[in-house]
Amino acid sequence: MADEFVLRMEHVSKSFPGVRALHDVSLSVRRGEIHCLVGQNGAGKSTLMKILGGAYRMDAGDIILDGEKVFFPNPHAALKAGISVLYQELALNPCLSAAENIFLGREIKTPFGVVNVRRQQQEAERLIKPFGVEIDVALPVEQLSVAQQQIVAIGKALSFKAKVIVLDEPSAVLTVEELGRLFNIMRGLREDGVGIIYISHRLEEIFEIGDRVTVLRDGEVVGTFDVSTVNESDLVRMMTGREVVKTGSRSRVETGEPVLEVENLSRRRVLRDVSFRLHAGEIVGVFGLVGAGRTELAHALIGADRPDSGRILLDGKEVMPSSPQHALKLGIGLVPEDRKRHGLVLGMNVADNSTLAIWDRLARLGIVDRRSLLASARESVDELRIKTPSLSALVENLSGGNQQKVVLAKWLATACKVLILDEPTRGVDVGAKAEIHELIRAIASRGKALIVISSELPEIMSVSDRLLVMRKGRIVGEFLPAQTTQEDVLACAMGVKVA
Amino acid sequence: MRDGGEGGVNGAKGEPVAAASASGIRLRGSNTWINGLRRNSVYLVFILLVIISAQVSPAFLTWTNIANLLRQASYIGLVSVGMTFVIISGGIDLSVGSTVAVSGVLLAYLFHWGGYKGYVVTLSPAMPTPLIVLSTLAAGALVGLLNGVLIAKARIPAFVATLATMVSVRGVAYMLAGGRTIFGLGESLSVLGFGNIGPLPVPVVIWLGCVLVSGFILKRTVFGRWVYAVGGDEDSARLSGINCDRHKVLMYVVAGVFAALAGMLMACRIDQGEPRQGELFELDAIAAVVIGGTSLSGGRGGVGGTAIGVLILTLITNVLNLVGVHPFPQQIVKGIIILGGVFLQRWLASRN
Repeated sequence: MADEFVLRMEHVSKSFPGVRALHDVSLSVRRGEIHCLVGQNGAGKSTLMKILGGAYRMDAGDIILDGEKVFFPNPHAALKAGISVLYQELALNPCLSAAENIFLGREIKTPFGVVNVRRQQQEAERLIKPFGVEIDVALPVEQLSVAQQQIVAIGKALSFKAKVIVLDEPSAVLTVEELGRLFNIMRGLREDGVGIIYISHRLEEIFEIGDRVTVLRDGEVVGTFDVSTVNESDLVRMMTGREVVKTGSRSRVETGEPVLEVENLSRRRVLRDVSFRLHAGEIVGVFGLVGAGRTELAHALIGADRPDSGRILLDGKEVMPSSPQHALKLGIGLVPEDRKRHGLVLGMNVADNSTLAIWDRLARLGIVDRRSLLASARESVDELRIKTPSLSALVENLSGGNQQKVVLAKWLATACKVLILDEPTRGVDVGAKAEIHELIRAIASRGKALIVISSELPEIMSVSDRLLVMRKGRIVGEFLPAQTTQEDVLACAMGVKVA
Repeated sequence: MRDGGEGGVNGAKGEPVAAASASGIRLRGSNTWINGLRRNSVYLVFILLVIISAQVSPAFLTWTNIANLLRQASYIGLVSVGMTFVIISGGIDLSVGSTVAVSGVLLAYLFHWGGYKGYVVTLSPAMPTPLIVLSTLAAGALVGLLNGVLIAKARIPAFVATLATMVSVRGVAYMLAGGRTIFGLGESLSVLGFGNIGPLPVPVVIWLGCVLVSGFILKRTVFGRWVYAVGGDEDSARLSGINCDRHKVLMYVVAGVFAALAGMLMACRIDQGEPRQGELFELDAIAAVVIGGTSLSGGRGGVGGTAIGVLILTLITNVLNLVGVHPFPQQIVKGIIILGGVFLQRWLASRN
């Protein structure tokens, strides 16, 4: 019987020890449909897709592909049946080239199992070409930029002659132009009758590309809708189960003595003549497009890179951090972007992680005082409303938003006067985002001076008191968020004059 | 309003894209440069050592010495080929030295087929020589299979699993030999120990052949590329439909076979099965692999670098012997040169 739906997942349930990840979830995808899947982190989107892709086994339920009931004992079986999944993580093998990655497990061979390197590379180039980005497909992918790697991963997912393609958060690192090209390719596949499941945190993308949208919350389906019948705030409401009031921007003009003064900071090719001031209790946002020099500025401030010229004054005294450790001792800390790699010890518990930076202060004769450690951790957990079963829970088991709060707790506990937050809400869901913004304000109101680096314009507009815009290593504009529009800021960052 | 903003972004993004492609070209250039240097740095160290050696000892560059050096290198060299497979796949194998011993003893044992009374009684009429050779290699494969199953199926860390087999397999070697040495392997195998092909000793030819074939397998065949895939990122390899467990098991089997081959050739050379043979071979092999530029974390490296690593290690011992340095300080020098070689490589690799 010809089925309108290429894929139906019916009454799928899945539990992990102690957690009900999915409960009675049904999802159906039509032929030639782009079906969006939204939900907060932890709502079960990725779990559902891993079941579809054969990486997890479901406890109950059915998967019906092309009208036939199927069972996938492993990812390979799913792939062979015509389901291609681009997972959020672990998509590529760092040591292999782009071409090898794309054809991993289904190499183009000459007789005797020898890889036909040239043909693989030609095919890989052909797959990547529609994205309009030049990528050396012979290079190990670890030597490619993050965006290039993502394009390779997407190219790979699209290259299977699949009936159903799942793209789990493919857009995070792509430029607008690359995303536009991806959407064009997706539209082409839709024409060909492929069913596409598209997962994104960026709701505006769903309205641009989606046909229908399914909302997941706490492992259950809230509903499936035609995209034309809902709007962004409907979706957010269904995802969170409550009305989210967009936090308004705040504006305070600080006067008085600055905590941090940066004068004419320059570093060959990446920073040019950067000067600004930062006051206690103030949040300064730094916005710029990729390559504008935001990260380079942060690195210069914490001594990871040496500036060629210029001065940094902390409380009126000239300092020159020589290393991140030195900067920390001076009172300047950087909360890194990649929390899993640089911000947390995943295998340690909440209490230890949140106090890691102050162990020396909690220790007597080199022995950490367990009681004051726990007291300090308890204080942070309460204050930052970290959702954790206990202080001794491992941070790797917390959600992304709560992990980020633990990172903030750690830095809050230090005596830093100046904190630089690099992309504080990357990979964090909508609900937790707003909470983290609140926390950032709370930290500032304790008298810390904050620099927030973000590539999300709405975020930086709502969280900063003052906004610095960088372009090509220079500060090209300063704005008060309350008195400006996103368009003005973006135009400034791109060096475009607006009438 | 939104549209206007995005249109603007689109227009301006031409710039980063152009920059990205430009950097792609630069990357391509610098990559071959780095890789070239990285590969050359092993050769560089090697050539440097050859020049120094030739200076300090006139006997060094004689053919007798070189043939001798190559022969010494070939045994460790064969073990290191197998070790390279294992390490690229993200594992480690400490049992290879014991496998060398057990295979040498087994070879001699099979020749005497239980009729051994401390001296040569009879050569076994029950087993023809090729069968004995194959059985010995199979024994090596069996040790590897045991390692692989313990690691891939029973999920015991490679270091621990192969540490255990290292100890036990050495015990098997002693048991088989009855705590003694089994003398006399007979005429048919002496060609493996003493023969030459052209100017090169037989084990050297076997070693170099194995290096070439293994290099081709690793770089060009699906089987070989999967070794890198499994070592580089097991999860992504598994998601691509590669049977990672089976592949890991196979790596240890490969290592076991190479160790057995080395053990057999050594036994032929000394014309006896000696259960103390191959002690600390595993460490020499690991050292050679690391000097050769293969990453201990897996996914990177190759068998060519390992061969040079073996040559470097052997050459150091050789030349220190030639100039008459006492064995004790030799060890100190060897350790320093291993560190020096790795530092030099890292320094060259980081200069981009």
